[in-house]
Amino acid sequence: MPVLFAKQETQDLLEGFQIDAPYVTEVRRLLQSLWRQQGTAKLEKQVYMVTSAAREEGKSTTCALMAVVTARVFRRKTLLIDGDLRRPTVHSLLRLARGPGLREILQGTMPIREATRATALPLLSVITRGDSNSPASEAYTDEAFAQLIAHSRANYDFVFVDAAPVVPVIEPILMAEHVDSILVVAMAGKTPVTAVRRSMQILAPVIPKIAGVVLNNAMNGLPYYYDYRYYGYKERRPRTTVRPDAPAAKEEGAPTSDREPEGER
Amino acid sequence: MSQPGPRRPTAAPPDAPSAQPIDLQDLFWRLRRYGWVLVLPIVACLCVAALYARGAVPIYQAALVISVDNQADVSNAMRPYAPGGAIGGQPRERIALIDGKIHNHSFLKAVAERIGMDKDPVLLARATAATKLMTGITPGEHAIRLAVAQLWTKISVSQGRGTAIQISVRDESPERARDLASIIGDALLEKSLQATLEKVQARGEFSKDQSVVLEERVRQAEDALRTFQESRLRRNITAGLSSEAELQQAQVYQRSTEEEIAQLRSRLLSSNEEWRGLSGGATMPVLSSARADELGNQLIRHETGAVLIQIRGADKTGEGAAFQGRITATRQALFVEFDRLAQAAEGGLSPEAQNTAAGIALDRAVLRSLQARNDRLAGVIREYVSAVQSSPRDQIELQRLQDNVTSARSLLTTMRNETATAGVSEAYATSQMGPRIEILEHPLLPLQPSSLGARATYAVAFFLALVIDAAIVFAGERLAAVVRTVEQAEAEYGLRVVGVVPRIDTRPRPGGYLRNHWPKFAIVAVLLVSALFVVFDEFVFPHPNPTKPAQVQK
Repeated sequence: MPVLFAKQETQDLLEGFQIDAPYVTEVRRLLQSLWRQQGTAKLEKQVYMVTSAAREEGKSTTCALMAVVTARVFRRKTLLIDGDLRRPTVHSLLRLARGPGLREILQGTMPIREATRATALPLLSVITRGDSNSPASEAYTDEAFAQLIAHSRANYDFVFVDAAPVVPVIEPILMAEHVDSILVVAMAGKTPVTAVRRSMQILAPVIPKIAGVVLNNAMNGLPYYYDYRYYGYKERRPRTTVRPDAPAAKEEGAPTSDREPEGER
Repeated sequence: MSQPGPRRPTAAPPDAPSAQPIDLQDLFWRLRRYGWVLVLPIVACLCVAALYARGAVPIYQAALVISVDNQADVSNAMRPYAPGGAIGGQPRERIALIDGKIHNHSFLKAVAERIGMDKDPVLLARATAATKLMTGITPGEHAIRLAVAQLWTKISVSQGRGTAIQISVRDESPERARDLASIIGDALLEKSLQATLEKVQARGEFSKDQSVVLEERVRQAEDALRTFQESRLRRNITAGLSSEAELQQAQVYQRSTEEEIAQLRSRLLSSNEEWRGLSGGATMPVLSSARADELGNQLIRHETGAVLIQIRGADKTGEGAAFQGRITATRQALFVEFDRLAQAAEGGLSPEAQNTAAGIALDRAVLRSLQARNDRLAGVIREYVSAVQSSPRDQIELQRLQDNVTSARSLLTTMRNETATAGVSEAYATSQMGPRIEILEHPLLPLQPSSLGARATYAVAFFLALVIDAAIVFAGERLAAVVRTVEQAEAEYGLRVVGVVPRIDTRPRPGGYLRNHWPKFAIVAVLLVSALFVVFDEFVFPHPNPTKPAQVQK
């Protein structure tokens, strides 16, 4: 039973990153799947765009996680772009300032290098949404975005673009023309079927670029065997064997049994 | 984790019903996902139950068991005269009958007056306050209405054991419940007997009144029939012809008359020629006298009077011959008179001329009588044809009048029988054999309240909450059209699911805090509202509850 009004511990993705966490495992598996889908022996340079049918389906978290895992686990030079000009979240996921960023680049008020910011991960750079308050519909220019992607492609191994949802706005379908692969995120138990059908109608021109669907189970909408509790497989560390007749060696918290771990018998 | 691969075609909806056994682990997983949402109905229902149990007054129920229409055995011949036989039927009909007797304003008003509810100071105070706001009703009348409304809800009628009927009275006081049940039983007995007697007496009075009316109607119908028959008889006598044979006879007779007229006219022509030869062209003298006129009229009467006798063949019986003799005698007397007048004529006619003039005058008189006969025959024939044409209408009218008389007589007989049997029924109803509502079990003092206790209230509330929870889960799992499984996602997108990302414990769920925790806020709100209700009820607006004394509980 959940606790009434339990305090939610909110950490950014870099602070709370645990290599064995279920979501990291799944994102690694996802990246390896994409890698295998390319049919090559190693990850090639790619520009990925992550979008969804509607908002609040976890695409920003998924996109940021993919970038973090790529930089930290696969040790590739990675750029994360917050392409949602209306409801940006990447800066909050990584606890960065909102600007300067993409808007300034698109408006040509700031060079790409200056708008690109480093993170705690040496191999991960981020372009946030930016500070400009001009209308989002007017802020996006296709040429500037194409230049940004071309520049990123030249300077980074992997680029992840966190785009807005495809049904309400037009920018994602414009951005899709410049990326290599598209991932569509859906939230199990939340994404309406009608929104899915509409999004697929909109994405029809770029369907060949779509690498697949990422099902976000943040609401635990999938059956029980997708529960992250099934991922508990921590490393069992060897215990120090202490003789019963050697009390001096006994310390608080140290194991009292000389039994070997089950896995080591 | 699904493996990446080629795009899948859109498949059939994955939520199609299957005959797979229920996966309990999956079921509990789904229930667990709802979490506080499922706790909310339980808390809400239990709070409502607590408030109800806190304010609920124990209700006691006293039951009166009666049987209806247990008639004494009577013969089949007597059974039609025994009132109340229609009560027997299905139990539901019996219950409806008793319920209708009890749940009506007049009965409950009588009960309220009998137990003195119309003088209850609490009701009178309420009625007085209410009547200040309205006109046309006195406080006493309003108090009676309030009392009837209270009694209406306290009494219920249901099926008892076997064919018996149970009348239950619920009240906050066990003594009042018992007493009220007893009074209802007594009132029901009296009302039933009174109603039966009133019905029987009304039946007798009605049949008597109707008998008087029907006697008058029979008299009128008989008068109308008699008048019609007499007029018809009279018409038959005056018309003359009464059959088709007589009509044919009349027509034959008319043709022979016309032939006679024709012969007479030709003879008159030749006689006129003869006269002109004898007189040398002199004008024929006028042979007229009072005697001749009288004889001419007499001849006409004889000719017309003999018509019906000739048609009906009465001449064969002697009457016709008598008429014929009178006609012949009249003609001879006429000839003698004309001959006398011719001899006395001025100018001195020769004997042959006198004879010719007298013959012509006679022929003319005979011709007039024959024409009168012919007219009479034509009239008789015309009347007969007209009568034949109007005959069906007469038959129908006659039938209608006869039917009127028959039905009026039949109704009169029925009403006289009804008057007689009403007397028998009244005697039966007032006797000990009559229909009775019999009390099988008198009401006892109830010892335990019949209303739900606190535990039962909580149990019902909890069960209701579980039902609501089941409905919520069913609606969420089956009715909402959202992506639920990997297979469904692949089917709807037509793409491979390349990854499943579980929840990140260190990140908040999508959506705002209030949206993610609304069930908890709702639970707290329900608890707060319940607590506020208790506080207000207990401390801010306390009110004495006279229906909850300690001795009643004991």
